[in-house]
Amino acid sequence: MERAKSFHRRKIVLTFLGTAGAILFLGGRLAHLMIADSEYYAKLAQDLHEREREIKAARGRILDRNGVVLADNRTVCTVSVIHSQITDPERVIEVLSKELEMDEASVRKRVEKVSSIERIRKNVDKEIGDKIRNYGLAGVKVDEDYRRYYPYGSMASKVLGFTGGDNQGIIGLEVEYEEVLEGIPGRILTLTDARGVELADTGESRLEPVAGSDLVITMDYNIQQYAEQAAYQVLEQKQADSVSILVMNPQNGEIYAMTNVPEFDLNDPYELLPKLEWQAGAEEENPADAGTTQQDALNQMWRNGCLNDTYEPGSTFKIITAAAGLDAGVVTLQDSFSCPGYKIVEDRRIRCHKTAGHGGETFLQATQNSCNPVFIEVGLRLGVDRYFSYFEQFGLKQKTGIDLPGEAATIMHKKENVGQVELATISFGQSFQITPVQLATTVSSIINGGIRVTPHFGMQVRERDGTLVQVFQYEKDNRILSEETSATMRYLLEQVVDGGSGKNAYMEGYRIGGKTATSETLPRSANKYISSFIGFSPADDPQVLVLCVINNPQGVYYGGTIAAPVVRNIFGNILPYLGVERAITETETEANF
Amino acid sequence: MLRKAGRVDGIMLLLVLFLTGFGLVVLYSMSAYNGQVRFGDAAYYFKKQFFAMTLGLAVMYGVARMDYHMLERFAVPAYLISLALSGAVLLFGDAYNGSRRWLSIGPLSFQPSEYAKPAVILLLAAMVSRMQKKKSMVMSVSVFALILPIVGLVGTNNLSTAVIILGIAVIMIFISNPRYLPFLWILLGGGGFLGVFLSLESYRLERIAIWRNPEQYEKGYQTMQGLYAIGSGGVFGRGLGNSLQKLGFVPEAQNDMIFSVICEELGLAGALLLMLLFLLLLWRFMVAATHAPDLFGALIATGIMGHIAIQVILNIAVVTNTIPNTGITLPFISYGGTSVLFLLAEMGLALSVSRW
Repeated sequence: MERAKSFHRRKIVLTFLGTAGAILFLGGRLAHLMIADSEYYAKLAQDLHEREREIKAARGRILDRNGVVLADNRTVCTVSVIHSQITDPERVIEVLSKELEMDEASVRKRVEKVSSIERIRKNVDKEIGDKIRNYGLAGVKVDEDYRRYYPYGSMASKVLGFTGGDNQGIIGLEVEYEEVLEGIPGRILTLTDARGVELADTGESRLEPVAGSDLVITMDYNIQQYAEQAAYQVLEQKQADSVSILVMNPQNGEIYAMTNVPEFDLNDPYELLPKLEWQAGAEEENPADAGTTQQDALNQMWRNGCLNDTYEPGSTFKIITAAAGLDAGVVTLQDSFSCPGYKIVEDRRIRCHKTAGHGGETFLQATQNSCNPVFIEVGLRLGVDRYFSYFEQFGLKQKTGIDLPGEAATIMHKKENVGQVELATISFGQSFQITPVQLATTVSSIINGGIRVTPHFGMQVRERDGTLVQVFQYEKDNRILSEETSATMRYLLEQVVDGGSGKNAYMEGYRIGGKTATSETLPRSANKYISSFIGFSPADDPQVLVLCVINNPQGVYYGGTIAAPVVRNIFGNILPYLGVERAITETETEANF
Repeated sequence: MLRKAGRVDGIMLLLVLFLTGFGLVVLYSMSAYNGQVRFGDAAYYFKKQFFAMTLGLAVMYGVARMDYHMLERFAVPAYLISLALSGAVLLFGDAYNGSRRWLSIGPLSFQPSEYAKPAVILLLAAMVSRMQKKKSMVMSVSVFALILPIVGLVGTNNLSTAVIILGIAVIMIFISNPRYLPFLWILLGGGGFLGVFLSLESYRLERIAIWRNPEQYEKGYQTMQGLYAIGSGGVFGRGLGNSLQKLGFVPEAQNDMIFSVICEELGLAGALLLMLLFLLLLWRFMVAATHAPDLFGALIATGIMGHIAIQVILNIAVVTNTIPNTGITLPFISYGGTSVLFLLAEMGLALSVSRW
């Protein structure tokens, strides 16, 4: 046989060297990929393999000032099935449709769907979830979750607000204090294969969630209850559209109670309230916009009338005119006036509510009588410039800064458009609009010694175990009125209750100051009224202020007749509760003899 | 006979046995997930491969003990059989993944293109040593013409294997011919032909575009997944069995892309070690070829060296995205019964050559 020649061997070695060179080159290429580019590709691969699952953080609770829990969490379950792990689909379908009270066909559809994980139902009660878990069915997963729960249902619904499906605040304090309440969600990082199935033995990195903090608010559960009872009572009696009651501490702006009845159920916020029986059929809905009606109706139901809506304050605003007039020195309590039942301003004849006229009266008496011509006179004496500068000084142009979303701004004339007639109407609280909370805040500031307060609910942030995290601070040195004028105003308003139009708020043993109002809503032709009363006690050192606004009452609509007794009723309940001492008044002392 | 038969090359035998064992372990690791998902048996691929390897080792033992000169007589019939089988597969073959490559005999399936490789090596070795008296160019051209039919038959549905066969033939003819220059022309001409060939069809050009920027093409998925696996390996890898990319991300991790998952599990160190083992094996083939008592033996050993070298180089080049993607398996490691069987038969042949 032929022997190999030397050129054969040379070429064999050459070929080997060639292949060796190629292999070495590839080795270098590999080293480049696995060292220089390693990070880049490894990162891409990591993104591909990792699945991130969020663990919800428990939302902080909302507590009243005494620690009563107003908003809490309840454990609910989410039931899902993992298709690839189900061994006995018929049994799974049977158990799930029975326990979850769902029809078999829809359960079957989800169980038989080929997907990595299929959710059967959310927000399942914990007991039912536990029961399903105890069946021990392969491929059925019961995950626990938190859901917001409001122990008192509809109480303070418009203040507290509620949360959505993702546990995020939608209205009210739940939105305003979202950052305090929400907490930090945790994460579970798991590795999965290409089908998205989690790998059991690769270990998961877990970041624990941080629970949200508790919010302590200035609301007092008991006072809120009294206020709501009183509001529902008058709503019913007077067959009104709605009643708003606000109870606050005039010294520091803490709000003890805020209600706008009818309130809605916080645990079922998307359920529209039934129409008030006296309104059924009164307003025919336009069927054309049925599509938008549902959401509009819900938004309407969720509105907090105390701050989302404005109204013409009417005679209660005479407090502001009086304070401005006294402070500017254009009037004193003893100044005499004469009321013929009307006042002519430029070409207009503006009537007093007492058409026969109050006759001769001092400013004190005129306030007791709520006499329009006298207040028009005071307003005109101040003039547009000075009136507007007081309006601004008292803080009426700005929002109050209350810690609730959606506060409505004051609707006021532009100064350059205000003539004598407009000034006259402003002086007794007409032709402009403010929110109830603005009125209550401004009056609080006028009677508390003259310091503008910020109305608020937020008081403290605490950990779940009670550890104090933060105390909210509010501005308290913004003087808007002198101490003396403030004292005069307290005296003046006590006289309104003692012997004037606010006498229905009078209660033996307590010193109460206040002012009534009856305003006609726009359009005037509709003959709809808003009756209101704002009162405070003790009159010499106000600890609590109550504003009651009744929208569209039927029958008698005078604020002094229907709103003042509501406030008296609330005072009767809460003054002893707040520990306000009964004062020995002169009348009582005399009566003892 | 010029010399008496001696002992087999111990290093070569050791390398072959080590690669076979290593291949089996790695294959189990790579294929367990796919086996579990598709067949409910993590050892599905392992068992089939184990069976083929056992059979292959027996064949290798038999062939190594034979006097390889005996095979010279069977070179032409063996080649004719391979032509027949390759023809048959076009007519009766089973399609898998869209390619007709398998002939089924009862429960066993057989890939004629794998058999064609040793058949061509044997044929070329025999024909070249027979035609030594002829003028070198005449001999080279006529021998080359002999293998064109099998290249054509295999190439109709398995271009990669046809290219391997062609490569083996070119290497063997290169060695049998004393001249260098004509092969340079062939190399250049081949390159030019390849360029024209690729640009004729747009789908081939697309392959080039995917190669340049695999991230931007959906069809670059396989390449990118391979690169992810390689990149996640780092220097020492995730450890045997810990690859994530084999969990369905790298398609068919036990086949062509197996080297990328080896990189992921064993790191750069493991991958370079494996390449070194292949290099050592090629070296032993070279030693066997240069020490062979006759041209026939030298050509057989060279053909086997060329075969292993081409597959190893092309496979790693594809996986590292050094060349455009084409389906070439990694010898001893990738899954494939026929491939492993004939590979081990070739090893027997090389061992037999090393004995003389």
